[in-house]
Amino acid sequence: MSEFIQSSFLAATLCYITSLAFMLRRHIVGATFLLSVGCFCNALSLGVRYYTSFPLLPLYQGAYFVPCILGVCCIKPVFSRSGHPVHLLTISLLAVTALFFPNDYYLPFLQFKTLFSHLFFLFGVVGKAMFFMSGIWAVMILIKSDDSGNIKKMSTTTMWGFFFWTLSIFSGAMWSYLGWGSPVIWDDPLLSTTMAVWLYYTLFLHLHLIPALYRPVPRSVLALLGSVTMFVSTCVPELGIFRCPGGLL
Amino acid sequence: MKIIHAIWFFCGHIHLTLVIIGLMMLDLFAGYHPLKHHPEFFAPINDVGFYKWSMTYGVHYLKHTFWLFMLVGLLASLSINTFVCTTQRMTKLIRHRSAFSTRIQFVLRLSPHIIHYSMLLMFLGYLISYLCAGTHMGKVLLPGTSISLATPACTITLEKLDIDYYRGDRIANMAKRAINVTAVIAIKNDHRQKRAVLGFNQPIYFSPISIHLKDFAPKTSGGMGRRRFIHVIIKNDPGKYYYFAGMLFFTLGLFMYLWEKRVKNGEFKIKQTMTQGQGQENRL
Repeated sequence: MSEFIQSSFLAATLCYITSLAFMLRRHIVGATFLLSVGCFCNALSLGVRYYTSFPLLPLYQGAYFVPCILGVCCIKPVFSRSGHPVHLLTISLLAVTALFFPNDYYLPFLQFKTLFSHLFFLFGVVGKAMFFMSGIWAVMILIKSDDSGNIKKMSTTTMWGFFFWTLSIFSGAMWSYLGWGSPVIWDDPLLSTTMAVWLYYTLFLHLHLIPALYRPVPRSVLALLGSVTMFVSTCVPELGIFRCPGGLL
Repeated sequence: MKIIHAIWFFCGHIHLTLVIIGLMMLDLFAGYHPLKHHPEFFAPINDVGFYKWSMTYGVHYLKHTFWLFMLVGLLASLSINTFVCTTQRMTKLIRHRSAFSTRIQFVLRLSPHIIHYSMLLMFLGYLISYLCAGTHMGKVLLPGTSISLATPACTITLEKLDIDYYRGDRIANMAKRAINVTAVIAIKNDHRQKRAVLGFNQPIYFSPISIHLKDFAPKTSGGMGRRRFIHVIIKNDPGKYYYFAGMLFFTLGLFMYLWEKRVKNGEFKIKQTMTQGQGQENRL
């Protein structure tokens, strides 16, 4: 099972990278096809990961889930030609990072056996993917200058990201209360960075009240900064040490 | 009167929100390293509450805990700012409610304020929880044994403990490890008694306390006959109703906010299509 999980994720990563190469050559159909195949392999890997630990929650899997969710979100833009190589570059970089810095060898605890722990994790990874998506649209606005379509997409994805991030925090609080009798467990360092990211996007959603910042370029810069901050503060701490995937050696 | 008016408007200004949230973010990032390297300084907050913690661990390890004190101050400032800001806007909105064509539009426009007031309700819940909650830690129960609590006066007995060990091979590296723990608990005081099943993430409520399963033994099957026990957390948290109500209303407000955005987007698309149609007609 473990070999299958690793091989299918390796296949997904290769598909993402090849899809990026097709996109750079402006071969849209090929890029879309490979992206879809990559998402399928990634989803297969995730499904088996979940199958081998359910009803417990598999630990440190966020790095594998985010490229898949982001990939599914990018299929439509890539196919409809509103996408950009930045979409596929982000997915490929995230997949490569997960591949070379695995941290998935910890056994889950029995406290993870609840619907709320799964919701906490799943809402969290969807939120992360949405924030990455918003950062990608921000890059496109900065490259192509003012584009009202992309600005709307950036705002919408940020809003959905905030929605899922909030639901993740609330599910986490519920789980924490059921398991330990308190909505906050004060020994997880990710607690502080998760809240910092939530506050950042809270501020971002209030930008319409500050006219000086509610213009395409400052908003895009802030959305991009948000994605980078989110990656550095919540994704990087969950990565393991550098390891060459078994299939490559 | 003018001064009070000026203070009221200053307290609710969006630039103040910007500064407070910016400082909170920096403070939370500063808190990452103390939490990562010294979790033992912060874990007791759950057991003794914030007030007692601040008088002991908080003051003693101030170099590592200063950010949490700052965070509390900033949270208080944010609460005042949010309350003033959202009250100002909501009163204005109610005054101009006749400007909305339908009642549903008006209700949906209230969504950000529902979110803001819910956040304040959550903060109130946390405040009550950290100042007033009582925790009984280190309570270990062996099958057939009881513990007595002084406040609230009651006796807790572990009647039966069942531990299921995993026998399959689907879940990786879980062979012979515990997969399910159920403990039959009897609680009684002078007025009533209750018998319920305690498990992980399955607490027992016996107003005003809740009993949570923290740990158990033995975790693996086989070997020599080891002593079977459970370790429970007994909590009396009067703030829980407030923070869960806050979370519920916050989620409701978020749904309403997204719905409002969808309606707005729909109107925008219709307008755009109509403008395009008119443009085509003009050209024709």
